[in-house]
This record gives sequence, structure tokens and C-alpha cells, in this order.
Amino acid sequence: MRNLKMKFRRIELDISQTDLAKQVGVTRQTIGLIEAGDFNPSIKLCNAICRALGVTLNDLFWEEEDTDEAEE
Amino acid sequence: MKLKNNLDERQEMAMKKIESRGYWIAFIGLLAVMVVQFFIDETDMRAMAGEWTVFMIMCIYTLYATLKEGIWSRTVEPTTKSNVLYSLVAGVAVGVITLLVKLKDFPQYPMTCVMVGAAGFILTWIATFALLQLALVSYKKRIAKLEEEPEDEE
Repeated sequence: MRNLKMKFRRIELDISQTDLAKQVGVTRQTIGLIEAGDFNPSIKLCNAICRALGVTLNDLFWEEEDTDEAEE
Repeated sequence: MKLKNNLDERQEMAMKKIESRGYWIAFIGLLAVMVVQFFIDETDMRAMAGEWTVFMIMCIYTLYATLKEGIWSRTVEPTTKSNVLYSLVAGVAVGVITLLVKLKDFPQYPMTCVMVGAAGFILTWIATFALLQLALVSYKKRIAKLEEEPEDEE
């Protein structure tokens, strides 16, 4: 599933994928894949992304149950 | 058809590690077998044709797949300097093996054996360096493409 929360937060802060990638120490491609929902990051990387975007893990990575069911 | 995966996340990671070790055991094993066969009879190319084919398929696949993903190496920097160094290592390895094999076959001509070994060293060094540089150019092109910033669609 695409991580739109992360993408919107990044755009809100006017940070490019490249800049975010540099801040958390990964490649731009990795950030792109997380936002596209094609790569599940480790908790460590999730933490680094949340710190860089000034939000909590819940804000970016928590999925509501009804959303899951709707997806299924 | 996609088969059902019975492994959980941790088991999947463990399985990938096991498969990775298996790959390197096969890679080193095939290389060792070819070197031993070369020592036994360097003229009998048919004896090592199977190993050589599998080894080359592994090398070509790995090269293609890593370049496609924009991956160079875990530890080696993608620079001309490191290419010079690692092609030199390959050259020395081939030079020494060739020298030893020739000395085994023609102990009465040590100088000729040294010259053949040196030729093996120089040719391997040049060919390996050229291939590594070619891969480096492809890698840099690929990484530039992968790292291009996409336009954020609303």
C-alpha cells in the first residue's frame, strides 16, 4: 500500500526525496519505494524518517483497521 | 503461478541469508574446482566446460542484477582507483597460477614459464580493468537515472 502520509508530510515540509534520503542515510530510490509501498523499511529506518519529518511512527506508519479491511 | 509462502518475516530473512551463503559456497567452490582442474591438465578445456558455463552464468546474472538495481559493492568504492587495485589482484592471481602450472609442466624452461606467467598477468590485468571500467560507466549512468527526483504528483 502506498504511504501517502509520508509523502504528504514530506511535501508539506517542502523536502525532496533526495534531501530526505540524505538526511536518513539511504538512496533516493529507497525513499521512493517506501512511498510507493514497494518496500517495507525496518523500524530503525522508520524511526529515522519520522525524526527527519518531525512526526511519530504512529503518524506515518500506523494503519487503521478499517482501512486494512477495505484494502483486503 | 505464485506459490504460497509458508515462512514468517524472520524465517524469510534467515532463508535469504542461507541462500546467500549457498550462492557464495557455489561461487568459491566452482572457482576452486576450475583452478584444480587447470593444475591437473590446463589443455583439457572440455573437462571444465560445465563448471565454467555455470560460473559465467552466475557472474553475468550477478553483474546484470546489481547494475540494474544501482548497486556496486558493500565495501568497495566505485572508483577507477579501486578498479586498478582489484584488476591488479586478479592479474597477479592468474599470473601466479599460470606460472605454477607451466613450471609443473616445463621445469626445464623456468624463464619461459616466467614470461608466460607475466603475459597472463598483464593480459588479465588489462582485460579485468577494461571490464570493471565498463561496468563502472554503466553503474554511474544507472545510478544517475535511479536517483533522478520524480515530480511529486498531487
